[in-house]
Amino acid sequence: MLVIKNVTKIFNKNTVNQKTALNNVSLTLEEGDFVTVIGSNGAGKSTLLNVIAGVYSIDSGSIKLNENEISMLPEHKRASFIGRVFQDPMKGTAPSMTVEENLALAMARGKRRGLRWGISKKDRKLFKEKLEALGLGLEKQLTNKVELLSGGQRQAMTVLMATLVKPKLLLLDEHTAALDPKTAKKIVELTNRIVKENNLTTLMVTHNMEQALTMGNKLIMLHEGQIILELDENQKRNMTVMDLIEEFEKVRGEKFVEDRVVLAN
Amino acid sequence: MVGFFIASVEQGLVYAIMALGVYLTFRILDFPDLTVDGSFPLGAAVAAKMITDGYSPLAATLVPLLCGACAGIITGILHTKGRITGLLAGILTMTALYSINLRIMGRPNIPLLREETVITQFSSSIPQPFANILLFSFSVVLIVLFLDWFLYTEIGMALRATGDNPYMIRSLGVNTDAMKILGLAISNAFVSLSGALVAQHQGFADAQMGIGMIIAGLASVIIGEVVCGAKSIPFATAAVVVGSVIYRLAIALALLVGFRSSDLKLITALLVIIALTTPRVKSILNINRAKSTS
Ligand SMILES: Nc1ncnc2c1ncn2[C@@H]1O[C@H](COP(=O)(O)OP(=O)(O)OP(=O)(O)O)[C@@H](O)[C@H]1O
Ligand SMILES: [Mg+2]
Repeated sequence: MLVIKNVTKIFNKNTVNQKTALNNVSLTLEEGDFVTVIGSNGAGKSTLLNVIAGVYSIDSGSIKLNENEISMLPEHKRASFIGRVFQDPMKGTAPSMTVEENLALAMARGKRRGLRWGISKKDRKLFKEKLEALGLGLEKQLTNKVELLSGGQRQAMTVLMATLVKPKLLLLDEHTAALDPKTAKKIVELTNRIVKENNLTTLMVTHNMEQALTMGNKLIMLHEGQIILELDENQKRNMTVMDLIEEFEKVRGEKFVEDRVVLAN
Repeated sequence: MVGFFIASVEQGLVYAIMALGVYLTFRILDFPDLTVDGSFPLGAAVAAKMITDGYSPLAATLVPLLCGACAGIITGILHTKGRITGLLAGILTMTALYSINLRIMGRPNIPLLREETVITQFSSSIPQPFANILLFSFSVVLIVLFLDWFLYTEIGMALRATGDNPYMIRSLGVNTDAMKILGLAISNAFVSLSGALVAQHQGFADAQMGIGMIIAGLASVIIGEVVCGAKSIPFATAAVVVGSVIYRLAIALALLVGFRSSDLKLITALLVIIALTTPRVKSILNINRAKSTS
């Protein structure tokens, strides 16, 4: 399904600030895989998602989705088959547009946009159903501007928008990190439900080890631009957070100190 | 007094077309486009040249739409493909247009007083000032209706989202570069059309007539927002027209109380500054600022 092969990404190449954010990374996702991605700050997690989405071009390697090389496509072209949710709840929605307008924008993902009316009656009905399923009362706010919504509501909308047209691949970058624990839990449940219902192939970055173990069927750990640990379904099931930390120390041959706080919060 | 009022309304309407262009870039695309100071006289220059060369006044009024669109496209390409900041891209096009406009006209100024224009054609059957008001209202209403329709189409909504949250709309598969270029093209097409009509209205085209146009447009947009609010697109576009008329009335009033016409740019700048710093406007802008920093 998604085959990443020997991908290297270097920022600020040939300057004093040169930084290898991804170092020869290879990763394969099967159809329906839900892979959680953990790693300390600056490990390259976001960069991995960003090179898949086309925000950054890669320096070498290949990225194939269903056998098609996508690493040369611009971001907006890849977006027609990749759904994304960002960490910042403000980033995923257009604030001065209404709830239904935002959903309509998402509804047109991957289709040719023309001079048809942006929202049809049929769309509205669908939006209502989908929003009702979120259980946040958003179905009564279809014509409200999104800037009036809370961060949690906006993030729930973003998850919905990223999956409204079924993407071949869903990329989630710490999409619950900026929310309070209660809201975060809701978004996690919502994510799990939507991913399961649609059998979405998903890559989810999280700082929360617990979350990384309980969600999804596979887990990878990144460190300094490399995948240092890859767990399949069975290995993952028997893992605890302490085991993960131990693994980290074993692989790296160094003590897991300042990262612990970050990784376990 | 009535004459003073009518003249201001005429001007307010004809300049409203330019202000609607400014609204599209400044408010919808969140792009401070200074091309306006060049594309406005571009429209006037093309219209004046075509009329004195014997083309039909209607053609001389509509061809500037295309010319203005081209100017906008150039600014858009400089900004998106050339990676020049928006402000500078606009200034570059505007500066280049100054020379181009002089080339088009062949001299700094073309009088149109004894020429046949859309206005003389129109007023042959309808008495003045109704002819002007009718003609300009008709043009403004067309443009307003176009925007009110276009901004709710799929492409129009993608364009609004480009100004509102480019990250988001790119992640939904929209080429934001193309949207910016499209928005700049439409905006400057309107600005040039306005220039073409103004030249025929005032009876001449002048290479200098674009100076400060962007501020006049901004003043209209902001005054409109303060007076009418901007709850939705139809409200906002109507507000621009109202703002433009109020702005022209304010300018006429300033002249009436004894200011010189050379003082008008200063007055306009002060007007914009006052408008920008009054509380109501502040709250409008605060929303925008929160939006752009988030
Ligand atoms: N646009 C960029 N320009 C330059 N360097 C960058 C850029 N984006 C990321 N980097 C660098 O690449 C490295 C990996 O960054 P990345 O954002 O992928 O880390 P991360 O694993 O997502 O970390 P975090 O947990 O803090 O989100 C970091 O050293 C970062 O400073
Ligand atoms: Mg990150």
